[in-house]
Amino acid sequence: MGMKVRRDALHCFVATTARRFGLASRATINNRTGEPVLVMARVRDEDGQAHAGPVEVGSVDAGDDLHVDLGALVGNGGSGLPGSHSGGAAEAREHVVTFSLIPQRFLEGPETVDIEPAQMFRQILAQDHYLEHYDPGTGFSSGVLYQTPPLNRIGQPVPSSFLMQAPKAFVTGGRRTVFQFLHYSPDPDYAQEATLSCRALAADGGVLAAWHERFPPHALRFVDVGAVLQAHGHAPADVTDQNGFVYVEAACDHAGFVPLTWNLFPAKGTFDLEHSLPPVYYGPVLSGARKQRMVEAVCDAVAAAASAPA
Amino acid sequence: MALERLFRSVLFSEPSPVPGRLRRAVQRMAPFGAFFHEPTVQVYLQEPGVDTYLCVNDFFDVLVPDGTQGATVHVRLHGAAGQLLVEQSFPLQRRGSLSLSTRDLLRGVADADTIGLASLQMLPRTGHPRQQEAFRSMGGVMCQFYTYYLDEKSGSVAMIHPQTSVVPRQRRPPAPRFASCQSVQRHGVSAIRLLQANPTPVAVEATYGLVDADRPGEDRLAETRIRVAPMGAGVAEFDVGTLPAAVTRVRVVADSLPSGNAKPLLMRVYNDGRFSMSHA
Repeated sequence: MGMKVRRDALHCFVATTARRFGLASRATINNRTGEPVLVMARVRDEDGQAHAGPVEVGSVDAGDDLHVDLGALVGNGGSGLPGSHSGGAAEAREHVVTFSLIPQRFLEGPETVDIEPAQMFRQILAQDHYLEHYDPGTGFSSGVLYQTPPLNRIGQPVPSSFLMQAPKAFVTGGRRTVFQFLHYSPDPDYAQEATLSCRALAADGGVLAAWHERFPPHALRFVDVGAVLQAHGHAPADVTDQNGFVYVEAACDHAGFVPLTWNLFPAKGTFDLEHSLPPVYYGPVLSGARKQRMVEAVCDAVAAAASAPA
Repeated sequence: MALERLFRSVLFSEPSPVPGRLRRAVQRMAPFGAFFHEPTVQVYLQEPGVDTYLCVNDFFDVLVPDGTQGATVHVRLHGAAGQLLVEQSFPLQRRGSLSLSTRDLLRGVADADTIGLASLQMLPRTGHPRQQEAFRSMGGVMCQFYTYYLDEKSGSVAMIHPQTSVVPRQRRPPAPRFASCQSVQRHGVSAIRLLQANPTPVAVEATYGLVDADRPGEDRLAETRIRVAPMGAGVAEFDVGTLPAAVTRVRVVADSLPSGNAKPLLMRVYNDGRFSMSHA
């Protein structure tokens, strides 16, 4: 059975800036869908407020790509795009760019199209897109390939949910791990707030910290693991395993998120970016109601730990 | 292990080699280990100053709401030529995590290489038949872990998820042509290194190339061919300084991959010795 989807919500790729780390950003939008697309972009600030767009970025033939500098797109203070709202202070803030890849065949018709879910996912899954951050002076860069699923769509029958888990926080020896969470929706009118349940666990499974992060719709937040541990009374070096790692989980039973993991070594000017693996990577049936039950269990555990006496 | 593989081939092959009713009977008879896919693999690096950490966590406890009693992690390290160098098992406490330094694991091993293949398999410890049933119904559990590469000298860090798992029988030809979805800006880059795992039981030869990302239809700018031993790893390297000056952005291509998603790791080596890395 088909569903009605805005043509600019069919196939999206969401990319973020990284000014807080002193980096510039660029994206490679690949088109392996087999048909030509028009790429549009909307820009929001880190609190989810509309900043600029939608604006046309370029057309991409099948098999081709589009290379986009995010700074040029967002501009200093957002002045690079028509309809932008902010002044010079925006340079210190992050921005979120949602690219829409609209098949050319949909451009002449209505803004909302009828499409089978399988057809929509074929568009999304045909390729990864590439987000890269870099030091303009030295050229040092690191990036990550990923896809942006249609999360938090208005009117979807079952709410999105989210789970991130893996032991990838490195918080000693001058290195730090920062998790980036984006409360994303391809629908500009999405207006739901969300609460992310987080916990850090020691190597023996003991809870080091349990806390909540609150997100307005479309908002972007960064969580520095070392800072969280310190805020919960831990010196990171005292609670990591023998190699400097600690394990972090994040879950939400009422909204989806796009997470990225930053590993940084500020003294050396190096950094790395990676995405996490959703439950279906662990078991193909771990979606829908089954995933929801898993996520609710983690959220309940975090709530219990967060409210327990210190 | 051979028995588990036999059951896996019936349970998880699409299309199934047996009819539905028989498949359900097989599911009831299959040993517990058959419901877990082949070990997941990733390249490890042991070059001077570089260590690789295999980072695992008891994800089973999240997958099964009733929880588990922890897990056992089975690790194998193969050298570049595929030779088995290390085989060890480690317990994981419930909700626990573990980071394993390949340098520590290879300490004292005489013929350790600078590159090799790590394979990991995890099995949960369950106390109740209901817990086992939950894993049996997951459609084949895949052990995921992260590798964390760290160069103490340059401070370079990279964290990468695995792309593929052990292929016990190479029934099909290697995967067809591959073109990376990422492009590499050459500013500051001295070399591009591709670290290729071969998780299959046969040696593979593959040709890798660089194309101009802004002129993809033109001839390859550079090409190199390597041979990777079964269960081994190999490196293909390109000197970026030899590329035409007009080329600012390149893309990695390959004539084939050892198996379906066995993409190489792409390392950007910068002029000052730092590197960044991700899967290609």
